[in-house]
Amino acid sequence: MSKSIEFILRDEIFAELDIKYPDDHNTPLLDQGIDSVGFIKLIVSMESKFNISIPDEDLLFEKFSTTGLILNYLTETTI
Amino acid sequence: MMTIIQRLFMEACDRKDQIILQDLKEQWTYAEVMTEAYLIALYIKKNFELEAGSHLAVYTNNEPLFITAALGIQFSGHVLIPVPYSASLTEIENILQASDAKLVISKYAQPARLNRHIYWVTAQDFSQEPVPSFESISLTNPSDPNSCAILLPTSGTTGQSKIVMLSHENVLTNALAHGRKVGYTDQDSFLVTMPVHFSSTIVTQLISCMLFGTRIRLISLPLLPRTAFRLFQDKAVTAFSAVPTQLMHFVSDYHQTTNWSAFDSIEFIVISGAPIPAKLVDNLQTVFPQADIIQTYGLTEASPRVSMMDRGERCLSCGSPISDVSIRLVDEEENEVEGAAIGEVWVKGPNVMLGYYNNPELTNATIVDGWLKTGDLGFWNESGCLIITGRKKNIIISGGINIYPEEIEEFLYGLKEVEEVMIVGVHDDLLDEVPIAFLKVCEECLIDLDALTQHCNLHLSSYKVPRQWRIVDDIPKTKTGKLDRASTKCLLLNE
Repeated sequence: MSKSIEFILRDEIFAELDIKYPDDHNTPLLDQGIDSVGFIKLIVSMESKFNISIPDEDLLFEKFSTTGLILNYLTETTI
Repeated sequence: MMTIIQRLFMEACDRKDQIILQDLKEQWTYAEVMTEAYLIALYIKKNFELEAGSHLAVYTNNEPLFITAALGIQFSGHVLIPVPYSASLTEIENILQASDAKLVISKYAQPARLNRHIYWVTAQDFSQEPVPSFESISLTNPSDPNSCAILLPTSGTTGQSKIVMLSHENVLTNALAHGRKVGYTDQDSFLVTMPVHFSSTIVTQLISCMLFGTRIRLISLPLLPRTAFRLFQDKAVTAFSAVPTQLMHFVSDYHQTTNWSAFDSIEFIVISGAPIPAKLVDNLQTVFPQADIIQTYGLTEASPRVSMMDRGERCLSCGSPISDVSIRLVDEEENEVEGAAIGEVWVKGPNVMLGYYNNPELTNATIVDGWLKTGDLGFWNESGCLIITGRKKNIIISGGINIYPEEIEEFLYGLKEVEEVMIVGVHDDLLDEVPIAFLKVCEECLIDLDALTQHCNLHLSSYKVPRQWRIVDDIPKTKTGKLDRASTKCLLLNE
């Protein structure tokens, strides 16, 4: 399950948004050049690809600041 | 004149039980905000030996902790450094070093990769402390109102540090003048959509709202349009400020679904950061039919507000100067221009910064005889309102003729196919520089570039017609949402 989530995140979401997918899951995405508009696009894209709705109180940079955190969040939300 | 904390505490005494701050879950009265801030001040005093006027950083998302930590720093007689939450670790390190920060207050522990030895205080640390009573708060040894209160790292901090020093007087006079002109009341509820580290957010939103009893709605970023829309739909907000890019997202998201009806509780929208295209104003009228659109002009070095439109004014401009602020428009010889001629905007008043931190050369070059040379260009229209035409450094000089990229952009924004546009100058052997255009075309629109060139030829002087059109998915922006002309030019140079 987790592998297919990562596949969608890397090869669909990050690729479509033209964000470099970091080798290390702990690399801060801010260091990859993603800005606040980029974060919004990332969240909107995750919601549509995984058919989820992220609640307002979860909408924090720090919850999605690395691919590791995003994968954890998506795994918990989509299972 | 008072210090920021003296003035805000005075307001809190008058409005003790009034709600001033609210996030998505909780709300706080003036007394609660002040006691929380005072607790942070007591914690810092107890645990760290810092000289008065030390520089303390706050590194948070848009959340109540930013306000309480910033006020706590002011209670302790120290200087606030707001660190951009979207900064990379290298940028954070640079800011902390360049500003001589002694301590950081944040919600979370110090990032493991942050390569700097510094005191790091988290919300967890002082949450164990007993909360003082409002009555126990005492303001001892107030700072000099003319001393530095806030250090603001400005955008474009590459190379030598460019950190703006604002005094208590700078901040308070600007927050009061802005608040009066915009007409904040204690019946308003103001949504913060911009990052808290911006000078305009700190001064003209957070502090100004606190001075006028306007409830602050502070929501963590990223702020999705739908989160804001729910608040608008519930009539929980009466006003907000935004940069044009954010408003473009609002307008396009609003039209993407039929979920929303017009947000008629919004009474005014303050525009800052960049000029708003006239087309966007038209689109905003559909989404916010009752809202006055107030375009402003300002820069961090001027605390930041310089001028703004009056409420109810329909003709788009940067308005007239706020109270006690003077503007001169000067030519290359530094003489005041006549009539509607374009000149560089110079600003004088209690809002002009103390200077750039540790950079007297740049300060002396920027402030001359009390006049702040902004590097922005503008003219007075027939109503005596300021129109900003562009940045002096953005000018494209083509065959000796000045071309203002912003003017061509404004023209192109008038076309229905154009969603976003940026004009930059590229080298030309003959003319030195010529303008080229980067275009983001609206979804489902096709654009005929030959027809576009013809259209420009018809309406623009030939030297202003872009020599090249580049269709892009996104126009490069800086972290603050402004067009990123500098890095685009660099990319072009390397081609």
